[in-house]
Amino acid sequence: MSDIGKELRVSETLQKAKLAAGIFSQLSQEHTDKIVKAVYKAALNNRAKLAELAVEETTYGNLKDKIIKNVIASQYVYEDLKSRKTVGIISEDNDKGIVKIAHPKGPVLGIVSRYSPTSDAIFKILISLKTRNPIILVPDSAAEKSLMKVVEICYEAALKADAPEDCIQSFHNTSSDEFVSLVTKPELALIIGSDEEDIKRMAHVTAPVIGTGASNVPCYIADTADISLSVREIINSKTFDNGIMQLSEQTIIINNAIKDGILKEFKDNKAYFLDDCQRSMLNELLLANEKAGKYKNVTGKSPYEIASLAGFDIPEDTSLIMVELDGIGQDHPLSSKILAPVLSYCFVNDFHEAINCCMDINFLGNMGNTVSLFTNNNENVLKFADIMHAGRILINTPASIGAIGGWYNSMHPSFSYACGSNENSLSMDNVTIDHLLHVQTISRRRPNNRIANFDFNIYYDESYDSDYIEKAFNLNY
Amino acid sequence: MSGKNIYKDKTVLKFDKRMDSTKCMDAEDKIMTEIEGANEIVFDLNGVEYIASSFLRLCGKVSYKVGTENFSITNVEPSVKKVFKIAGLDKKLNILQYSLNQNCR
Repeated sequence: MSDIGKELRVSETLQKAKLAAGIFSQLSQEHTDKIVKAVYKAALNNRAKLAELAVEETTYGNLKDKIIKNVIASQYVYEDLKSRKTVGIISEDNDKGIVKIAHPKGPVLGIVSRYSPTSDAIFKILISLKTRNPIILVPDSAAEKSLMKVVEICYEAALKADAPEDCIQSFHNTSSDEFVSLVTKPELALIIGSDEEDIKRMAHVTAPVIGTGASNVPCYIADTADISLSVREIINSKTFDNGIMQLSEQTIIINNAIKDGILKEFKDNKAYFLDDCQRSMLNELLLANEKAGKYKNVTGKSPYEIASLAGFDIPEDTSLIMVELDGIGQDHPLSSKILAPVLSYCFVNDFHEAINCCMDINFLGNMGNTVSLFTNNNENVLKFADIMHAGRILINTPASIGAIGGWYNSMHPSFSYACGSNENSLSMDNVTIDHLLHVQTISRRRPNNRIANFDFNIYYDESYDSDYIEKAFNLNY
Repeated sequence: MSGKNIYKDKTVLKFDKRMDSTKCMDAEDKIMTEIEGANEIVFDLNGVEYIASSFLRLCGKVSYKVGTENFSITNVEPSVKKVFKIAGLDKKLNILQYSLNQNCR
């Protein structure tokens, strides 16, 4: 396609989104909810078909968990947002005279992950529609068919519920020129990214960005942890969709006091511990893969497949490959993010050592994402959170499924995990409808009697210092 | 579409309160016939409270057919005016600031 053709395609897509934004602005809460309900139902009714397509096209992960991800993105997200007000007055406080009014932000660009192409797309579509924002979805080149199918199903359902035309669009077959052109257009109100690659690609972006950044999730199992629960949840998390979730545990840091109990529990749950020779073989495979890009060949594969690729045999029903860390840093691939059921581990003597180790791992993947802690010592939770630079500090929770929210905790379910300013992101929490709304404030007259009755002459005479003013201002208050 | 009037050489078309997709589809052929041979077309949106995407498309079609300078939209309710503004059409279409009656006086 010529440069003019590419530019035309970008302009047409944005023009359509702008028209949709205009129509959206008229919709009532009832009309909006009708559209969201229709789309959620269509997505949920196609959960297995979409999961099959995603596994077939990307070859990442496994069918059962992809189906569950589609359920989370449709049903659980819908349940979370269905009763929330997103149109007109969303809150009113007569005593304070404050009224909050919600408005849509405008066209949203959603970049869809190759690892969760259908669930990620369903999630982004639902939160955009609920907030009356048109959305343009850009697929990863490895998952175009999956995304286009989601868009087809959801858009058809939306139109049947009287949604604005072009409220959901896909922008597929995107060249890098087109991508840059798209993300630098002033018509976009917000960009929701899906992983660190997007953030790098968005160097010249003009619209506000929110979304997932790099991750490398450390998980400390403290001496007060419930051993059985910790191991069970970590295995659930790290094997979910064959370890493809960005926020699954990468390294567990085990307190020496409970070392034997933890290792036994993993073995009892069919984890396979590599010997030195097997560790070297896996290291070699990872380093060779790193040159090909992000350990691509092991991503989303089963433990048995990974062992075969590395050149050694393990039982077919192995739940997880466990490998002891030989160091932390770029030269030690086992200490960085591997999106597969491979879990590295190391031992520490106390909380202080654990925090140091977690920090090294956390910072290796860049800051802001997620850390995990298994403990029954509440005091240490706050210390841990204070030192770790992460948006999500998950306690006694499987990190991958826990970070999504709504299942193991009370966070809003989400497939976009913001990482704060380190990753160019506006926020550090799970992306929800709150990030897609402009909220106006009507503020009625409610004079502050303390200020009204205060003697302003004190301000004009500088011999009254700040201590005197503070005391006078707070007298009898 | 709910009516047609002619003021001087202007053909003025009036519309229903809710111009949803079905109503737009029903009205489209009729409107395209009405504007055949007309010098100047005015869409009087007095009382129109909701427009669907197809109404915007219809405005574009009429504007293209008769020429931007010969097509205007008037008596736009604030909620509908906002649609044109958000969609960026307020700069592409001639949306009159004052009512038709004032303009024709």
